[in-house]
Amino acid sequence: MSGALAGRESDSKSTLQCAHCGLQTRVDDPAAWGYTRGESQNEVRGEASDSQGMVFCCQGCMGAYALIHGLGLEDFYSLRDLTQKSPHPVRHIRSSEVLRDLEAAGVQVEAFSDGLCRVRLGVDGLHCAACSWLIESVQPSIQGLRSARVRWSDASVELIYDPSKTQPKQVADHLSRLGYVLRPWTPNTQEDTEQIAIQREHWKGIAVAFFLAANAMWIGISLYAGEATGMASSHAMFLRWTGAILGLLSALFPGRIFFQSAWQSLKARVPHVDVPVAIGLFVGTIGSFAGAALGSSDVYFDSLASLVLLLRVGRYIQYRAQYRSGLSISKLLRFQEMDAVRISEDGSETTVPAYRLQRGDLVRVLAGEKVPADGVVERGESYLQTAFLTGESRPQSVVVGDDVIGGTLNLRSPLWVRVRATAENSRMGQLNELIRQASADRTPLIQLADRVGGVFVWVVLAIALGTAISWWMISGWQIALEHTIALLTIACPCALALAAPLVITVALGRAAREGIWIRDGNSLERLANPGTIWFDKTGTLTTGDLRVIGWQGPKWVLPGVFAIESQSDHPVARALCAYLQPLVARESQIAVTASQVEQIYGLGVQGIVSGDERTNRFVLRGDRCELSNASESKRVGTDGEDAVGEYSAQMRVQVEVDGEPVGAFVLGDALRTGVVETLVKLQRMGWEVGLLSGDSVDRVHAFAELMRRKGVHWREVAGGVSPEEKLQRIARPDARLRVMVGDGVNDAAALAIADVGIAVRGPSEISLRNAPIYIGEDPLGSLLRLLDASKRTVWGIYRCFAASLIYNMITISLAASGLIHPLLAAVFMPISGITVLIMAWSAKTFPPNTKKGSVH
Amino acid sequence: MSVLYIALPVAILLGGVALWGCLYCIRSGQYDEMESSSMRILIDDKPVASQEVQRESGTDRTEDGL
Repeated sequence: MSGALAGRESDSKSTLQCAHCGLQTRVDDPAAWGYTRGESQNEVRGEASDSQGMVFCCQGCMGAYALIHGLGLEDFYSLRDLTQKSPHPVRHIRSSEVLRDLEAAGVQVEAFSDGLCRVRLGVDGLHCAACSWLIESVQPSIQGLRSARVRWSDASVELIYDPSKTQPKQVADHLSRLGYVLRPWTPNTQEDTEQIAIQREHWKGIAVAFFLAANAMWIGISLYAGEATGMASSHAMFLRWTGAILGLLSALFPGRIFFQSAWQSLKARVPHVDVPVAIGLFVGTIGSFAGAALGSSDVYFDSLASLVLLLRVGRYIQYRAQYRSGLSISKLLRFQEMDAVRISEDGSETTVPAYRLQRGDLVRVLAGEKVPADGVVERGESYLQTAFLTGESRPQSVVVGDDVIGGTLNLRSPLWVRVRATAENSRMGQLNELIRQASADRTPLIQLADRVGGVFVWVVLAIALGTAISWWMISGWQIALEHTIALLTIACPCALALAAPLVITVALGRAAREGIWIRDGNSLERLANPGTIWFDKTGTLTTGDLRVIGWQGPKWVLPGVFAIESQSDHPVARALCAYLQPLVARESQIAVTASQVEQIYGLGVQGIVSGDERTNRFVLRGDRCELSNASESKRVGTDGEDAVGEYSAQMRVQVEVDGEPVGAFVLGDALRTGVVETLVKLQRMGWEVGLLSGDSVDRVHAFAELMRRKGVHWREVAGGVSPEEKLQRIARPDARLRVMVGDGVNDAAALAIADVGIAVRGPSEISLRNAPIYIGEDPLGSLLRLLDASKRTVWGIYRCFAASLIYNMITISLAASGLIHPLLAAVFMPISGITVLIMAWSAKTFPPNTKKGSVH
Repeated sequence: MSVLYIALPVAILLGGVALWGCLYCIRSGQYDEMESSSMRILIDDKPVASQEVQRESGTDRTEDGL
């Protein structure tokens, strides 16, 4: 293991891209540390050291790199670069232990007559096309695996295997080295099925509309050609009727949705762009039949059919832009992603998915694992990290008889917990319900396009009516019909309807490249008007995980501590290693080794350290750091900022060598870089900032005071708030925009009810990626860029609107005065659409991030 | 030119058959997931031993037929 360390740029503090996933990784990042452990990857590390500073952000990426190269599947990297970057794959690789007993895990295995078995399993960590390709490509290298097919839509893989040669667990073990985790699969939720159905409807509509438009257009062309070269009137009549029928079909089938939505909006008395669209389609249909019946040389059916096609395509783009906002925030919390070790009466252990646990089951939770369900401690005592659930940043001590909440992290020693509530009745289940209700209660804001479009609609209708009446009085209904159709065609607001979704879609794509995933395009639009931003504290303004903030003691102890802690996967050990990695010289990392390392229940860890000259017995004792102990960290104060140290101290790890205490580490929740600058900048931009934290009142006020001293004016500071109270505070009516920024489960309900909910990547594994906006890297810097981009996006939309309106004003006045032939109008209409398209693409919504390298 | 009366409906009918085929594909879920299919086509299949086994076992048992 120590040989591996030699290959690393251990003392460089620079940021490198992870060789596998491309994530910016600091060499001293706690997660980056993961890869130096594990015996199997040694040869890769040797290779890595040759190719100057190759770095992996986590063990998963490391293993994936090894396996991909080992299998000769380097194509993956070129293929990956074809698709856009995606969120970082799973950070902590879950064991596939749960698949050992498929029956207990509730996995259904289908056996075929020829002895093969089929099973469908969920895949975690699937995030781009290259992933599914990679998983499928591994199949030939696993003996007995006949087929592996990934279904992207519900993140599952279907395995067909020969049970005499392999088992799903073996396949899972293999894939886990690639960073993918197989788990028991739960079928589609209703929502997923609905989304697929909606998408299919869109595709069908576009297919039919395209078919009708293409045929109508050919018929239209033959009519124009016939007119130029001469054509029997019976043939022309035949073509005209066929075309008219195609146009009618187009308006009736793919165009149906516009009539429906226009009718809806009329009933609700909210003007909508679909009203003139529907009227235009209606008039166009009448026009094409009138043309056919009268044998007039003017044809409308082709423009009618192509109009329907264009509108359907526009609708589809709009739907795609908002697609994932439909995957609502209520799916944030997924219990099934946790595993539990169930201990039966006779003492045997089975690993099962957490959602299969029953009331009364006994489960064992090791240090570093999560409590799988709500229950009561039966044996053991430890500290629990409940930050993600309650916002309380200090570990909570639990003893026999204490209640524990599912999802909290066990920090110190094993616990035996008697399950008291099943997944639905648990605290997490209740929160889920709360979030579901909050999403349903959220007041929808009227979209910009609808506001502007609404006015436009009535103006156009008034002008059309005026045109029709005045031309009727001047020169009869035929001329009036012709001019009115021309006006309605040319004034078709499709450019207007397309502009906003297009600009937003383009912006979303660019945002994703910046590490900001926006599910809900409207959110981007709304952020342009400043309001109040409510911040969660733990995990959002602070890093939320344990980091070493100080060390007091002699330097010679450090290599020994490093040697011991690098053999443990405990959160405290990770924090210590991350801290020590750059401090301990490379030579001593190799020279000093630890043996007989063992966890001492309820105490810490101990081991024998053998160095160059001496051999010592090290004991590392973990202890909670009370707020009153904070003065100690002040003395330590390696961060330079006394106040920061005082604020964040949480835990002490005392080091004893041969029974003598020699020093102590202070661990705590460090501030994110640039917190103060960001908050001050937000205020300068016109936003108000508020703090809503579940952490203890004292701690929250200490933090708020610290910020206040640096020039941050809080609108409101609230500590010790429960998820329910957070929700209530956000839900209070406010004339200005309410934005919530948070990272934990305790923020999820508030994120759901806020006008805009922004989730940031926090330390908890609970994924908030389905929040309306999810920021993957550098949350505070990205937040500022996001707000800036939002402004630019809205300006982009306005520019498109302005161009479209000017264009419409000119053409409408020409049409109203009878100067434009309907045919010419039909030609002009798509031109306005194309103009909008070009403008939408060229809008500078996300300017290239010049600071990128330095931000992290 | 009276062939027009036959040719035009036939042309539309033929187009209609293609349209039906397209709708059938959409209904059977082939368009549900565009991302990996579009990438899959770029990668050549590599000759591997287990493909022979697959050919022997004959049927493609995958559900979605992707």
